[in-house]
Amino acid sequence: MSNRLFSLGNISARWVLGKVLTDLLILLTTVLIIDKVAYIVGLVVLGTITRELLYSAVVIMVIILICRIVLSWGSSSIAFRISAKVKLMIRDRIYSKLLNIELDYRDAKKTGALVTTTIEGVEALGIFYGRFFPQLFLSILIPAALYCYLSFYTQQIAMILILCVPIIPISIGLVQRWVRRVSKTHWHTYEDLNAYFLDSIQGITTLKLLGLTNRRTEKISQKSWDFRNKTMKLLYTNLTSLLVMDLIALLGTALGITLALLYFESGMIPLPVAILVLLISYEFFRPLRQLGSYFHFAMQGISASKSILEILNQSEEFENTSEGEKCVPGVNHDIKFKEVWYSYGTNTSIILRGVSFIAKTGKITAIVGQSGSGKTTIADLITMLYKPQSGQILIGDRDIQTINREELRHQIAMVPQNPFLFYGSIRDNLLIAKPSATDNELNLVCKKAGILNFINSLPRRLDSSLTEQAKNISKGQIQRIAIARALLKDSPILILDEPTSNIDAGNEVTFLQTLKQIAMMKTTILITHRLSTILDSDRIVVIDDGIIVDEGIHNELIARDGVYAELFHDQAMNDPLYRTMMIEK
Amino acid sequence: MDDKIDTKTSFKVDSTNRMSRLLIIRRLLGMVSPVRQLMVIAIIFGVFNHLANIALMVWGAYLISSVFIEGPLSITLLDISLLFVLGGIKALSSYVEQNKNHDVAFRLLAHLRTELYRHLEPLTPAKLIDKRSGDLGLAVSSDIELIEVFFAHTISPVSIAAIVSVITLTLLGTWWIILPFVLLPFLILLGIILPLTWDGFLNSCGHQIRSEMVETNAYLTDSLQGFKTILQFNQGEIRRQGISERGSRINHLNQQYASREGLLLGLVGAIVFLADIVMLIVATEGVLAGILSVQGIIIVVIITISSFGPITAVSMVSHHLSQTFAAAERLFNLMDEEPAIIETPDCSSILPHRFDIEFKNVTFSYSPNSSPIIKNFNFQAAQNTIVALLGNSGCGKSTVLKLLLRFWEIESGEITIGGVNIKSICLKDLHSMISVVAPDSHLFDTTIRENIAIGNPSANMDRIIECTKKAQIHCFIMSLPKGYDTSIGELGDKLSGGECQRIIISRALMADTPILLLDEPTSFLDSINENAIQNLVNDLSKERTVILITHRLSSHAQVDRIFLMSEGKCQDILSDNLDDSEQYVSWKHMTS
Repeated sequence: MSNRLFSLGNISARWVLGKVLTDLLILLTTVLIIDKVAYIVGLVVLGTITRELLYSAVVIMVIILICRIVLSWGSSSIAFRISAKVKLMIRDRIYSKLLNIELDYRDAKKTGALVTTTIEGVEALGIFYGRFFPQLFLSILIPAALYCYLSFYTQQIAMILILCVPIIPISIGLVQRWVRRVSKTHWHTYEDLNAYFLDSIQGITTLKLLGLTNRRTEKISQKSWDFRNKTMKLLYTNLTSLLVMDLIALLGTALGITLALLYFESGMIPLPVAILVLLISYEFFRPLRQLGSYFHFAMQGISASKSILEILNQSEEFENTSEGEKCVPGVNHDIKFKEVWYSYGTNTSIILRGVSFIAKTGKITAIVGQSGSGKTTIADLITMLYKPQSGQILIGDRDIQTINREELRHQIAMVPQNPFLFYGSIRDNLLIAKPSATDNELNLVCKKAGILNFINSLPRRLDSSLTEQAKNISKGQIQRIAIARALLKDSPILILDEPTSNIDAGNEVTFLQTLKQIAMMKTTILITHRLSTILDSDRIVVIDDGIIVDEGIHNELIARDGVYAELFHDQAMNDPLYRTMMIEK
Repeated sequence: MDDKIDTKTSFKVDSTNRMSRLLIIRRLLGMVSPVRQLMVIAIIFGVFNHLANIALMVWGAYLISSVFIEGPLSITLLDISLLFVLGGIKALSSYVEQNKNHDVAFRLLAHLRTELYRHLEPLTPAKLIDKRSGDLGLAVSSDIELIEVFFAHTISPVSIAAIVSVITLTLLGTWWIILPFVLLPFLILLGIILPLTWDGFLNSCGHQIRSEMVETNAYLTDSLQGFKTILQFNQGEIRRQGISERGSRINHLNQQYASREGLLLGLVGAIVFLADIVMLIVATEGVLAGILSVQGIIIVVIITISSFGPITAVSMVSHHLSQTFAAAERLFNLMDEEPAIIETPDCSSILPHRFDIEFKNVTFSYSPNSSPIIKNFNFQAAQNTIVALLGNSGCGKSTVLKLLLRFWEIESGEITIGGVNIKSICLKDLHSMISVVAPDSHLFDTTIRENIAIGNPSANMDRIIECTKKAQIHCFIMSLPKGYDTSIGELGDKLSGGECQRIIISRALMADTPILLLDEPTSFLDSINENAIQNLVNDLSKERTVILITHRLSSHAQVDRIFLMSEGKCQDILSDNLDDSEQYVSWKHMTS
């Protein structure tokens, strides 16, 4: 585990060395001051003290003190530098990993848990790298340095004290086995609590309406207490190991004092050395004791690292072909599905069972079918959000697997069923489709999407802010902004998934007229259940339970009296527009 | 709608209301009273811990000086074993102290988390609509975690430092009366002056770090929830940069924070050693002047050196408190937010006898100084009928529902259910009469079964299936590998809009309330399912009041009355003579 943890951080050895050296110098200042104190006390006791000796020692001590302030400042800054670099890098790696692994993983992970890991988990890991890691070296180096120093005065006591030091890691190693078991579940409980809290807040209005906030509050309380209990358990184990350390450190100190006493009694060391040993014994054990207290902080980082590693160790589902031909060649952007099979995961029900169809350039291809028949999956497969288990998807005769993913997505504009708008202004949300767009362009696409009047009615127009998930505007308005965004992208392929489900008929008509015009230059796939939107399409693909059951134009399909007729007969008979059309014919 | 967007800026100002330090400390201390006893135990053992430490060193010094004065062989085995006993006492009391301190802290944190959620309920949705959930959910969590510093590492160390310092000063006084007065200024400097002024020196650094962390949290939440869109628009790199930029900003702030911590650490260390040196000088002068004995100087110096533990803990914690107070301030501001709706004090829990709904001359705007979104609105829905509210998207249809649910207070007019003004009904009871199927109804990250039978864990499975069958979603659920036990979270984006709608409809059916509000319930459904749902609604209306909000009236809807809404006003059309109604025909013509 630890090895992977260190490779994860990829920390700079130079800075760690810097931190260790600075801390050793800080130790040196401490020792020098204690040494001077013991020296003066010794002189006083022996009666040989003079003011001159006293004040010259004081001057030296004050100089050392000033150095100590600077060193201490330096030590913290270096620790920060180490962790800052690591934190930036790990967060970056997590997000770029998420961008490259299959969407299934992202789908299954709770947002709350991911955010907790990426923000707080990495923050805790920062402490691990900046403080705990250098301290590991210090806990070996400091006792060694003290040993060397003390051996000038009394080799035997120095030897006995340094021999006591390894008892700490050995006994901690025994305690740690127990700690590890507890810490495993701890971070997961925290992630889970945060995910639950986020879910509770996002659904708070629904809960309020159902009169369930009290019950939810109870559940939060229960989960919070559960987390508290887990934290306490972890803490008990940590405190227990601290207790073991403290006991060894303090009994070691007591031993040091006893030795000083006995050696002094038998005349083997002079009084100042006895006082020095008294004051310095504890310093032998301090670095390990400190390591223990950092461990308390680093614990969170270590348990978070498991979640982080879980993300980073996901295999990248898609080999992104960054080399090879970059562009989809020519004007041919026909989309071909050849015997495409798809199921989410391996043991779930099959969504697509050998789907084959062609969507031609310059035409509108409608995909219709009952809700849940696999229509949306087709769109997700074209944009390579998911990968089919078998079969081929071609764009302009090229297998999309061989096309660079960014390039492929660049060729496709999409209006999903539940469009997502980001926190920020309407303008920000539109500009992600084309960062260089001018105001005129923005106004034009908004007009085409039938949203311009609404935007202009807002006090800050395009610069009006949207709240998270655009909760401050209606679903219909979200949908029209998403349409405007897709139109702005102006890419050769346009995929619309139920684009007018929340749009009133008036705006729908305007939009469909626009669509008819722009579709002449593009490959357009229209997923819909609305008859009024289908009537304009050039070809209709009917999908039922993952299989293409029929293809053709509206009149043909109605005449065949199959699934399509069943789906639309009713709508057709009641739609005044359609009735008039039929009468005209 | 525009008004909702407008109010946003004014909110931000509110929520960054700065509170005084003293007030924050008072409120935090107020929370401790239920666990006072634990805290006292922690303090007692903390005092033991530090006194044992001082005693260990002083006893050692005393023994050494005794040997010096009285010569060898003056030390007994008992004297030596006392050293080990003191060491053991220190270790054990430190354990108990830490244990109790954290026990207090984590108890309070669990309590605080729950309390906070309780406070959010009355605020929803009017006051929460423009808060980011990253801001609310996760940042709140880490804010709460930060308060641990106050509960576990501030209250008892301050008390311990005070007690131990008094004892130390008294001890020194017994050797020479001048000594406590020499040491006292250093203790005051470390324990009082430094902690109080350090905060000003940090220059609201803690506050900035907290705000930046919150922003990053929200940004990341947004970047994860909009993941599909990010991929489709190739925004991955840009978002990644955004995350890095925010990380760098946090790092930049942390750099100032960390280097100041280093400075504080250096400063505290220097003051401690300076105190040691000054005491050494004074004690030496004391010996030279013949006031202090030789044993005196040894013990005085050792007491001084070993007595700074608790007081340095106090000075160091002041650095971390800067962030803790910022976190506490954010939490208190949130908890202090005034709800938009204040429950009528003498509200009634008795439900009305009938469930006819009426809006009389209702006028409403989202903020007081903007033009009303609903003006002199009149509307009736009789019991056992379906009333449709038609209108273009954004005309205020959904607002009507929110007013009926009393999410906002109306400016003038009256809304009644069965002749009873909804203001006189307790909010809880008002909501218990009404089921809502709306585009923003939330599906929770739990199993489908629990989402449908929400709040009723003992719900009969047969009844659940009855509801899902009616909502045309049973077959879909059964096709999932884990059926009703499939988690919504696992499905993620794979759940289509139509499927979500039908699960939410099943939930409303389970609730079985006398009033049913449907806001675009079939917008994602194909016509077969739409017809089935519409027939279901027709059926339900036989014993309920149903209000159907839509921009497109299904051919199967047997509505009894239609209200056509535009620009906040309403025109009543009787559905019997729909085709005779000029307004309806012109609206239909205009929209189809």
